[in-house]
Amino acid sequence: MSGLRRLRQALWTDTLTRRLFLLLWGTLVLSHVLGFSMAHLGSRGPQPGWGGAVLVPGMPPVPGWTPPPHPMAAPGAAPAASFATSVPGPRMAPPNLWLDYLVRVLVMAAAAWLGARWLTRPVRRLTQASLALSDAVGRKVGLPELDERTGPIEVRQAAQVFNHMARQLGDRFEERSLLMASISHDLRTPLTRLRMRLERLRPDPVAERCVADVHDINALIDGVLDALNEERRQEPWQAIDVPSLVAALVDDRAEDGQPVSLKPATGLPEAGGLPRAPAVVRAQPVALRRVLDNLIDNAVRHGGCARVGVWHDVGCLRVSVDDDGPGIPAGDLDAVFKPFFRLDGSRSRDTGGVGLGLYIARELTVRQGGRLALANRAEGGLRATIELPCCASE
Amino acid sequence: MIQCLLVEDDVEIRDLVCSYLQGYGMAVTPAPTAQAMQSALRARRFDVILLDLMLPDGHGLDLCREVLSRLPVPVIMLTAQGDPISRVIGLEMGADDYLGKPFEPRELVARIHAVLRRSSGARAGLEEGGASVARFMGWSFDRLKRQLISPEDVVVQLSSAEYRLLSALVDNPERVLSREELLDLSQVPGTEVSDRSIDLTVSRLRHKLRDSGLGDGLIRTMRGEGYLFAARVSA
Repeated sequence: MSGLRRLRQALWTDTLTRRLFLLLWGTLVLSHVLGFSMAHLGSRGPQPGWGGAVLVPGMPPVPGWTPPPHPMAAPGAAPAASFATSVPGPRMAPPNLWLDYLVRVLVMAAAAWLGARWLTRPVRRLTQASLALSDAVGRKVGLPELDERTGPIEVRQAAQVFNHMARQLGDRFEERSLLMASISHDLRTPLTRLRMRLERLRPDPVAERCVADVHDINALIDGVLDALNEERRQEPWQAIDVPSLVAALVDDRAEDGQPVSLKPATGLPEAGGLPRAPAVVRAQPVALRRVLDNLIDNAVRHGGCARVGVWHDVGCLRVSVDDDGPGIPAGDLDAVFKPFFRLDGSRSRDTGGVGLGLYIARELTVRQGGRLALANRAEGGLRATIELPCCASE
Repeated sequence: MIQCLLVEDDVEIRDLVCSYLQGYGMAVTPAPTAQAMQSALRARRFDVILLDLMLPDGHGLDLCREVLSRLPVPVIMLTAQGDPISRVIGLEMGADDYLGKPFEPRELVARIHAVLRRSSGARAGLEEGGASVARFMGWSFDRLKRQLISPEDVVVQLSSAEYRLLSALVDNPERVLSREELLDLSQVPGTEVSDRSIDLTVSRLRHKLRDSGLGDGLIRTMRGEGYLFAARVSA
């Protein structure tokens, strides 16, 4: 049924294909009808009241259709007419002429449809390339390129313009991130000098505060460089056992004395102790680790603790990170993913963080083919959930 | 007296670090370029090299590899590119430690002492264990990425404690290690590890290695003696 719906949609929405199709089909049908009527009127014009006789075998009239009298027509005026007069037809069209008509109209329709698709193909390719461009820009994965050597002149010109634009755009983004990266990087040299000089003033409380500022600036540089590197880095995809990843991260933090714990796994295929069936996803290990690290950092920083759980669901695996903090006002749940967004200055200033953690986490989750969502829990606190498509286990 | 060679192109950082380390009783020879570093290395022997990653006449990574192939001097990399990837690359190239700029001056002193301690004793980790990837029973254990890959080619992440324990076991295959030995081999400064936590880590590691602990697995309990890693390890 969906095929039918799609056809109806294709016929009813105003597309280039439909316009061209209607134009071509209309023109073909009209030219046939006009051609026929001209030929016919050329021979039978003077006989009033005629309707629906077949004169030319290849050109049957539309049954029940009365052609208007032709003022200019005269007997024997056109060569076609003289041929027509030799084959006089009956007053009603025989049934096989209906079939003849139907076939013609359908063949014309098919030809017009194919023609329209053929003509609009470059436009569709352009659309696809534009979509690919928006994905590719800034990520240094291959920019889409249109074929500049085939197709009509106009299409080739459009392809050239598009390719030029894509390259320019790619270069601009590349320059922009290089600029950001080198500023961030070069800030570290003066910062190192500053830090070494401060060491000479050290027991001074002002110097202590300056050292804290140096750390803040460095954290910001780290954040920016991280975000830029993550966009450009290409890591191989591997199958990853998610529960072991989560357990390792939680164990490391617990060993560090952080209030991070693991929730008992629910819905995992636990085959009565060992060996368990692995919950495996296909992803980039360092990137996935980075996502979870950022979410756990946030929970500890803003929520005082982190409880991490792994849930198995149909076709996907969910990892949730809960905290006991104040949560996020409902209106800001989307805004917190923006770079450098902070809920309110007073809160973030003493708790640290530069406002790139969630931005990076979401970018990376999307790149793993997953989703990252934040929600306030009914019992208080925030829950961050990542959902990853599961690959067939075992 | 500890002899340091400081390779750093920024003149102010060079002077500041020199005078700071001299305050801790170290003799520091500054070198602004890769060339100066080479001639300093020819002139005398150093205990440790502090190497900037970006130099006007050569990249620190190439220098590091080149120096290490000739001299057994520990290298600490100082770099403004403090991202995890260049850290891994630096360690792969044979640097002994890696410190991002701006660093805490005291941290630098602590790292120098730590590196010297390690190089005076048996050089642990990479050099001693040889290859960075160890293979056993279809598993492969990458010590640089701290990654364990199962026979089905699935990445199994290890915590730091599990990583240290597995490193100790893989370095001593088919040998009974007592809890005390495992404690010594897997301890890092600044963490408290007890007999009980060794047992806990062993049980977690078994879980990840899909070892039931019933006596036929990879990590066997030798009653009253300790643990045995029962697999042949190849590079």
